[in-house]
Amino acid sequence: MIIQMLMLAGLLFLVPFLAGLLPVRFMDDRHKNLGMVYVSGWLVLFALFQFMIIPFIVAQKDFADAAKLYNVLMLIAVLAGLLLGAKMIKECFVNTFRFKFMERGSRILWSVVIVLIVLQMVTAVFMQYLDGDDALYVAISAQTQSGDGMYLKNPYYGYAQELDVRHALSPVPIFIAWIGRLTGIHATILSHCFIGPVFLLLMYALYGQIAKRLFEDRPQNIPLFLLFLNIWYLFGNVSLYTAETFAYTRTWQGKAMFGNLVVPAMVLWMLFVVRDEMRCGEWCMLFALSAVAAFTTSTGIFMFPIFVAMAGLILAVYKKKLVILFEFAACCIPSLVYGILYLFLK
Amino acid sequence: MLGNMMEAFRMTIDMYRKFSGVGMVTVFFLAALGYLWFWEKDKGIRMILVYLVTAVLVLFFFPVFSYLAIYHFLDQEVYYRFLWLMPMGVIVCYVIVRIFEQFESGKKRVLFSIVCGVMLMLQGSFIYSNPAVKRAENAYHLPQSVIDTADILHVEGDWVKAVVPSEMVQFIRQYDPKIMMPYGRDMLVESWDVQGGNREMYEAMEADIIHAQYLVLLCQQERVDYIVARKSSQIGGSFEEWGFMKIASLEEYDIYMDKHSKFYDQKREELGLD
Repeated sequence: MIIQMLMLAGLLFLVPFLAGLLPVRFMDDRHKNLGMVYVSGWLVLFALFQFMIIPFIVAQKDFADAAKLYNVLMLIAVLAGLLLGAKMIKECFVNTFRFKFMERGSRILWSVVIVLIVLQMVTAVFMQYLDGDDALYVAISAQTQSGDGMYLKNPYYGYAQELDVRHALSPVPIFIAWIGRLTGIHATILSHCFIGPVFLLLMYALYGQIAKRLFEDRPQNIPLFLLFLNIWYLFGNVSLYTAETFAYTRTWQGKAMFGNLVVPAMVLWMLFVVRDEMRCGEWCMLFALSAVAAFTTSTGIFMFPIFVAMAGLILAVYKKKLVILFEFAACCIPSLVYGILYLFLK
Repeated sequence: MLGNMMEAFRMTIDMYRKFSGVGMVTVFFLAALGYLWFWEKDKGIRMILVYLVTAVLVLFFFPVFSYLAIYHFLDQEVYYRFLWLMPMGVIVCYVIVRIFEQFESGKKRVLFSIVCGVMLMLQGSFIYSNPAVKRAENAYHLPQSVIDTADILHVEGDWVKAVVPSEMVQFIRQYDPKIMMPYGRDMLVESWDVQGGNREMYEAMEADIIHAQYLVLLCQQERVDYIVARKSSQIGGSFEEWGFMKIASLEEYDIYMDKHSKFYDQKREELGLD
């Protein structure tokens, strides 16, 4: 049990951190902090998984083979980050922990924000929400973990079926099954107890990065922004349809990840573009984000390019640079490929 | 096509209302967006948080786009997610902090922050006060009765098939995917077409009085190994009379097994039955 938990902790924290070092090394210096490393690491892992797994799913190959290949890819990403990005860790640390330079008020607010986030993570472990869609998504994870086919068994009945095209191109449940296969922890426990809290942390890490860009002139107000955002989220259960409701009740489902991870990431990256803070690392991550949008939900395949296209038009006019449209179009290539595949398979 | 567009527009309005729900989330958001339109001076932030977000909002309601989205590349069930492309929380909280910065007095700042915090709380609905959010019974975050039942149904290294009450249907296979079922969650959602589940069997299980002979006949046609019946159910006749023997009794459920099932003897031995 202890070994399983240590492996899980490694997969959910250490691996994304190390994988994130490589892209962040090639980012603008202002983006080099621990939060960005963690965020980028997850984007790398999700994008790599998406690129790798879809051919296996469409070709109806075994999950075991796909899992072995992904283990190798994950190790390569981790080693690449360690070898090429390790020197950056100190710089990221310094950029993140500037408490001694902060006013007392900011330090208090940061403490409150951190306590609130930790409480939400702990609550996600000990509170349950019985969502009907888990009969599909979590059952897919559980049956993939225990069997070998991917999207070839009906999760409601267990019978064999034709490839479930609607869900097959957004393999979050398969990713969770991969973690389960590696750690030996049941996919349902992973989904409900561990994925939820970790992705809440990831969500707030993303919002922290957004806050850094919005309050560049007054960084002492970042914790105040995050405090209000915590309240906004905690009291956002006004209907079943808000992203805030999904964040707490369906965190482990791909569509919740889209609304609470991908969309904030898209907003963050648009802020980078508008501030001319895009370097090689940021462009690569925007490309990866296109794949991650598809990874989370089939609606992401269409919504990512729509959002990026609108942003591209606005920014091209504002900056008087038509090349932005071509750069954004290039970043949407994964969406285009998955969109064509989705329509073709449907 | 014009008719479809008008229908799509009507659906969009309806969706927006449902999305807004019981709180004032969208009202706060529109107010904050309006504030930024008039007062945000940073051109970069105007591009993203004002013009881009407004473009998304306009596109959401634009009949041609909503028609294409609902009828072609998204669908009516998920079109509301387009609203997620607007970072409402970011915009509202950003505006609150920018207004906060304009107060020079520390006391006014604190008072303003408290008022805004309270308003955000009062306009919304606290997620943990949702009656559907409860203390987890176990690490799986599933009803314990489902786990207890599934543990009895489980046959190591093999697949089994079971008929379970409706309240268990969406949980059993999350715990043990080797338990097959002749019907699933599709029976519980009225708007779904039955995807392949056995509606006849579901209705027989959920009838006010379960006719044992009839249900057993349906189960034998589908080679069902187990029937899990609520103790509170009225059963016309007895399952044992028709070949399904009681093998376990839990707090709320009785479990019956087909004596012709290839696992019957193994299960009886496992459970220590005579």
